[in-house]
Amino acid sequence: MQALSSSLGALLISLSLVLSVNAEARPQKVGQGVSEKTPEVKVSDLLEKPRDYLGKTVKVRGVVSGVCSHRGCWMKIAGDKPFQAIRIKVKDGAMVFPADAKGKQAVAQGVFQELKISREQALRWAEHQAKMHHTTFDPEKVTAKTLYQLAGTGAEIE
Amino acid sequence: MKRPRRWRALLRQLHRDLGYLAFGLTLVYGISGLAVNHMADWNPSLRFSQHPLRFEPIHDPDPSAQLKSLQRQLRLPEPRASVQPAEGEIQLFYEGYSILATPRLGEATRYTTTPRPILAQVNQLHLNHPKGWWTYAADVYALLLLFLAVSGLFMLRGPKGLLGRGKWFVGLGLLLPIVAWLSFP
Repeated sequence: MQALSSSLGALLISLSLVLSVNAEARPQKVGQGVSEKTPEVKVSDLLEKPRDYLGKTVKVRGVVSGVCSHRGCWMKIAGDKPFQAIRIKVKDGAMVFPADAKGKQAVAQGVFQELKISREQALRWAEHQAKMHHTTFDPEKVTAKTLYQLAGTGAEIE
Repeated sequence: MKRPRRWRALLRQLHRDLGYLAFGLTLVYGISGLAVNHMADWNPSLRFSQHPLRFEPIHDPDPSAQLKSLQRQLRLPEPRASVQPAEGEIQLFYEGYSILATPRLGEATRYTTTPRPILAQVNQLHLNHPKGWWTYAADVYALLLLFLAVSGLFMLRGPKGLLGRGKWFVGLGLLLPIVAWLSFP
């Protein structure tokens, strides 16, 4: 009986070691992950020459600067140049970007999209952001705008 | 002479012992089910908090100088990463928290993410985040539940069995999802 419990203990320790080594070695795959065949594009290139990439499937790489705190339905990747970032958006529940991804390196894949935001939509969004970040909401400064994002199919987080 | 129906006794024994086996996993899926059912209203696994911070304004425009000064003034360790999300802002990332600072104003906010005790763990299993062998463990549990549901129908005979009052309860249980499907096309 003692021999059996010792063997069981050794087996559990070995199993947990194997699992922990595997967990550390691989990047965390979200959704379908990313494909080696998909072209990797700099965030600055996407935002500076959006017409060249609209509707195309691309990969972006960078530091995760934000994650949807509610359902993990979007993740923001900071650009290679300051003040730039791109949002990777997925349908609620389609996949979940983990909240602890913030500050980690990630590669995300998706279809590059353009979103036309009306002034009314921009006003609602700015008001929501001001409430979230406790900043001043100035409706005069809000205008209609065009946003770019990736309709995400997957990511790998290191 | 009619043979005694031993299969019903065997079914009851199986239902009992497999029910014991399913107890732990039913707690996991039941508790997590309640939590994730209200995902629209809250994050069932994580708690988010923010805390304002003040420091001596930094007028040096160099981001690395700003970073060093912030680390010194707010006694922060080396960050996992830092970015400039907007002009005049710097964001520092750490395990479990991040700092968003406006150096020239001497203002910052610390955003902390804390796992909810127990819920974070049960949700992780319920939503199959570990994947791998857990997928098959969860499959076995699902089959176990199906067995418990079906075997429960035939455990008793007579007025308290399926053909007695049991049929009304089973009918009600089947009606509920049908009404839901019809109400929410």
